[in-house]
Amino acid sequence: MMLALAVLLPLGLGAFFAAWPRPDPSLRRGLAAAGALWLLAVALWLLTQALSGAPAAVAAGGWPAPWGIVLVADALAALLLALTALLALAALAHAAATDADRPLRSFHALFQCQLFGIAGALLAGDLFNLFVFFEVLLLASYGLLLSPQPTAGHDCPPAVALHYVLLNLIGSTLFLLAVALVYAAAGTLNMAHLSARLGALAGPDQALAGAGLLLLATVLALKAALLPLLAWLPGTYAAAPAASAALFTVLTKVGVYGLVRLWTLTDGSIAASLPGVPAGTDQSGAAAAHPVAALLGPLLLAAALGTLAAGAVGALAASAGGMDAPGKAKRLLTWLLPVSVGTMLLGIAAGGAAGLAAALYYLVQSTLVTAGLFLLADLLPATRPASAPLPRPAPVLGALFLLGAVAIIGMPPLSGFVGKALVLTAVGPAAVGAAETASGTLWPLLWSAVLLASLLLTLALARTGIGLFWQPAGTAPQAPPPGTAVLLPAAGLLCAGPLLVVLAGPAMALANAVAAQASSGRDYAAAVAALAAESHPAYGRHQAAGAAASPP
Amino acid sequence: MEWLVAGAVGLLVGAGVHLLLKPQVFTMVLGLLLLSYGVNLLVFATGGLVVQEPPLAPLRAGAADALPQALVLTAIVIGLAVTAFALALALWAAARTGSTDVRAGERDEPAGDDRR
Repeated sequence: MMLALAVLLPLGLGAFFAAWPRPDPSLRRGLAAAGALWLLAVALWLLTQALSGAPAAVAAGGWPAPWGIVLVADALAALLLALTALLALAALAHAAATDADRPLRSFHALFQCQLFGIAGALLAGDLFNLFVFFEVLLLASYGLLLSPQPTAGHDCPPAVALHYVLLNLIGSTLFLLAVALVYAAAGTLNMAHLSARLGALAGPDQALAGAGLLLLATVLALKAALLPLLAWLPGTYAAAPAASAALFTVLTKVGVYGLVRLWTLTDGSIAASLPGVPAGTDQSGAAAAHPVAALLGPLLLAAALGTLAAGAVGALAASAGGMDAPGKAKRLLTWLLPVSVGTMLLGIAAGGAAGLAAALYYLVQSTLVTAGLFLLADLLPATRPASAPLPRPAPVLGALFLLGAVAIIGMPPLSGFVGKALVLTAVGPAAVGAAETASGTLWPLLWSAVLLASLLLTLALARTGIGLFWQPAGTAPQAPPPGTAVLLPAAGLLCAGPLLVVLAGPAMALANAVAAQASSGRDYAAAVAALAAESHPAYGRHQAAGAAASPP
Repeated sequence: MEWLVAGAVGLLVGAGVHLLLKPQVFTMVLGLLLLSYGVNLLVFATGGLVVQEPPLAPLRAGAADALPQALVLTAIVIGLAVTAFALALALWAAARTGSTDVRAGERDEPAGDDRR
């Protein structure tokens, strides 16, 4: 039941805010913050539940598993849900402190819908509901992107909004196409059930399912902003209001999550034989892999390398240009997302379970720090048409920027270094001997890509940092330092850098446990199978009586 | 029957993709609409194309699978909503930039940003 609440609570709050858009603003903020806190609590509960070996699962409406709406919270989903709730809390606090939630009447309704979409996409146990929740998430993100920004002096440019919306609408249509192809071939959409059936398909059905799965991978790559499909990201995120951009940093990770899920689905590791339905595999649990699984590794590796390179070069190019301070900083920060997605995907694609664990540690720290930097960029003094000299930002902002930059580049004292070192170890020569790694002789290439990208990021961030913060005293008036309430959300997120180094041991133990569960998939499959058995006891008898009436 | 439906899906998707490749925003929305019609028809067809059978699979062998019909209903509703949103957005953008070209208004930022 806790699991259903994780999805229902943001939906209920969103509906409440939409139906009653103008209650007392402090009440609205209090409710929204309470909702995010509650989501965090639920996510942590689900995480402990999943790590105890029995992931929570629920069949909405009591329909049996292969057809009903199934929500499953394995450790991977719960971890990302907790990360989302943390980001939401910081973004809401920032929006409240800077009054960014006032210009758009439906800000809180859209924000809760966004959380509803993200939570649903993470917990969805079948492909069609993944599509539906992605649609919810995207619709809410359109609204948040387009919200007016009176303090920034300009709203989202029409072309940026059109490109983002039209591209994602095409992506959604292709998502539906992929779902239809997979269903036509395999006759099911439940992920665990698909995992059991896909490998056993033969001939034209296998080819049709393969086309659907690759199309699905393409659409998820669009959400994760992998190389050929990343051009939409920088303009969009730079144009979004800071609080929304901070939450958007997790959207690309939802795409990465989808790719991981798709991979474990195609290689048969989350296969569950559901009762009453003819599965394509024997009861031993070891389902055959679909041929697409073997393709996904090299494809993701190539995309990861390309994304990493594009992000690093983009960051270097973006630090030039004469925009106002927040715009300039945000334009640079958007390019940090492809770099971090590329780095984590490299670990996932080439490192096996150890790579996934390293990528998860890196994912958490890079998402928190990037979101913190987005919030920080919003506090920089913006150009006003009347005032000639731009006031110098307060020193505390410069110190925080340095903290975030060191963490995101991956320089020694902070968490980015630990994360990148873990990813490099997982794909490095020591791990090559392990059978599960796919990197083989590629590791020098992977290492140089990650390290060169770090060098380019150092240059880009140093150049922008000098331009923004290192101005001779006396040339311009000093801007007053922002108040504690305004500074706290950004500083809190940026504290993830030092904090995740101090707690690197427990954090890595957690990441290892989560990665082990995600890559073995046994617990996930068991949770779904148990659900199918209990959700509809009468169904099994009915199906047995009705002989072999299998879906086409 | 199969050929008819397959041809319709192909025609709709082909026309949709053709229209999507134009730079005019309303043409693109129209293309998106045709594309989603084609995909909806495909989803519907995945349940099997049979006539004069009850719509409940376990009752008689050979009946159409009812699940895709439930899926396509959801997809149609979502498609309607997002198309309405895309049209509203297109109208807003056209009013802002005075042009229906999707590339118009890329530079709608404060003066001084001329690098991109």
